[in-house]
Amino acid sequence: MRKFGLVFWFHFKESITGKKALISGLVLFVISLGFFGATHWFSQQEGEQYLMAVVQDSGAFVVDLNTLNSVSPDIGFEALGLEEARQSLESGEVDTVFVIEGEEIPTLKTLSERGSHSTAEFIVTQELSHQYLARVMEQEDISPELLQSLLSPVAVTHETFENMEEFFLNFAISWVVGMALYMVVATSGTMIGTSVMNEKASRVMEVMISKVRPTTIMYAKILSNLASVMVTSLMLYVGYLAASVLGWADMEQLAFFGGAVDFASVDPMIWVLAVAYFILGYLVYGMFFAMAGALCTKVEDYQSVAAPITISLMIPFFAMMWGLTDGIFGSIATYIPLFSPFITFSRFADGTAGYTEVGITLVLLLISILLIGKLATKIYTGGVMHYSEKASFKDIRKLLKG
Amino acid sequence: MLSIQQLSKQFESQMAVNQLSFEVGKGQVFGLLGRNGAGKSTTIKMILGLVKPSGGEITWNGVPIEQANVRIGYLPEERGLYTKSKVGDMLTYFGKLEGMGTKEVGTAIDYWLNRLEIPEYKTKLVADLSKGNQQKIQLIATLLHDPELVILDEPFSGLDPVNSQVFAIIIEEEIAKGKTVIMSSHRMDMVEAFVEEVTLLKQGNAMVSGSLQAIKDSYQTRNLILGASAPVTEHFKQQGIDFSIDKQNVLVKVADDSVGLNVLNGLAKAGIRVPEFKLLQPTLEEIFIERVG
Repeated sequence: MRKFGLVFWFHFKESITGKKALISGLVLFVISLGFFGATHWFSQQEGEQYLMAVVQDSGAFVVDLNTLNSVSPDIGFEALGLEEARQSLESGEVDTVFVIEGEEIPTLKTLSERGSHSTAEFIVTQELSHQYLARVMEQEDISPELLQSLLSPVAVTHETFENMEEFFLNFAISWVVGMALYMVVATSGTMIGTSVMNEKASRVMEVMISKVRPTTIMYAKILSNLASVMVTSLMLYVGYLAASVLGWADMEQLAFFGGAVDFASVDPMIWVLAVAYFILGYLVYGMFFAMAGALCTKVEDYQSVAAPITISLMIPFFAMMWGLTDGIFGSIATYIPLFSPFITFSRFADGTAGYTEVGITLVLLLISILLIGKLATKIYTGGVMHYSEKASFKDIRKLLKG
Repeated sequence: MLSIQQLSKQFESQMAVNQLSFEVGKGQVFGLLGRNGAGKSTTIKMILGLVKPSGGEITWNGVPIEQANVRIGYLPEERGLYTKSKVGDMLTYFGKLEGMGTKEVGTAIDYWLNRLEIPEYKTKLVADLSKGNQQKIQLIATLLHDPELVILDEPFSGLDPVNSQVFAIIIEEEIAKGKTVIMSSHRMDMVEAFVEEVTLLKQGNAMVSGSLQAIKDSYQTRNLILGASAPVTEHFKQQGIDFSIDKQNVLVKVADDSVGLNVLNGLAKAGIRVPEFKLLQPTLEEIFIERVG
């Protein structure tokens, strides 16, 4: 355990103080600060008033500007002549020109650069409808009660078998966990592979294996990369803190597909499985990337060897993102160790997979990690006698034989 | 004591090491020599536990060798260093992996950097050092934890004559401390200065094995070297004696000491004055070339 700690700490320190980590941390900080800054700026822009022009060309229907202006503080209306309104539109002073016409029935014509302002249009049409209804009531002698009865909308009530709020919440958490796993594996997978490859190419592995068991080196290296990525990701939080100091941060601006998410109300079991699938998923991919590194001594060879692993990462990720976790694909993918951290967890979160599937896939993941770890270690160790650029299947067989 | 008995390693149809046996005691130096692919590195990697033997056994003080029961210092043929790390950080890491404490490893690093006259490199990146200085760092990594068994694979590779001499002195010091040393090198002249026991490997087989002195003694051939000032070449041609001119000397290979003396007598009878001559045993390199080719 002492040696594991030493190897872990050495690689963690090396990667966290490396240029790559420092640049990544800076980029994440800028992204975080930039996001809150931009959100803050746009929210301030939203406070500005959009100006509309109203051209009253109807003698029968005349809207009251005070009434229109009292509806929304973001939208202002002013009465203009048609020509003046056109000029204001062309100069950009007004967003939309509303021309009110018609003597028996009111009609509304809009002039705009790219389409009328929908909210303003709604306000004007509502006002015209009220005026028209009042006129008809007066002409036809319709009582207000009768009119209210005639205009009563059809009552609609929505009932669903699932608690949609909970469904949305679980979808959000599986999306967040899947995205985090994908990002972390995509980022650190290459780091793990190239680190193993460099150790082999530089022959430092010969020195290391005579001091530490290769399995210890592998696990310590993979977990130190995870820790390094996690620490680098903390720069997102530092960006948030900086935005808070500047008064830009407003967590209410954060929304998931337009809806607010209260992660505090998530079932604790979902959190436990999220952590379990994240760690096991990371380890299984990490081992595969380490094995790819152990097979090569050149970056270009590593890229071609690691490509199938990257594809295996993308398939379940995009399947989860696009909601393709049902049907035959979902049923099969549930039990594939490389896919289950995305698919099974997502299915458990949305209620289409139960504890049986979860139990089986967690056991399969553990077995896979131990098995792939053993193969990767054997290939890594066998590499001390194999320094050709890229191992063929024949070489791999030799390496596994020892 | 390191004992290797009937050690073999087979890679599919190729026998990399075949029934190799030797022993190296405390304070002794063993030379493992041979051309590329002779089986030297495979033997070393089996001692280090990097490669599993197909047969035979390797013991240290009577028990099978493993990381836990012997401190090994290994200097690989090619540099095995973390090039993106600072020298001090990397040496600390290696020392701690060998069980050293923080203070102990710090003291040892400072000692060795000063001993090799490179204390200023402690905070430098390994990649920024020259090949020769990287080799010095590699030697420090090998000896830092005061190993009992020192394995040196081509220790003089990449070193200039001055640094080769520095390395040679340090290796002599380690031998004097009672370390068990295995040395593999192509530099026969350097190896010859240290080794007592030697094995010459060819295609995995020990062609010559035993005490270096005994091996030399067993070779009847002697080198009769005559100074350049001796006008001997015409006489040798007339007498049909084979000779060669090596640098500024005339070299005659003779079967044994008495034959050499006969050649000198012949010169004296012919009235040729020989101001200086040497009658030497063959060098390790000559034995190597003859037996291993």
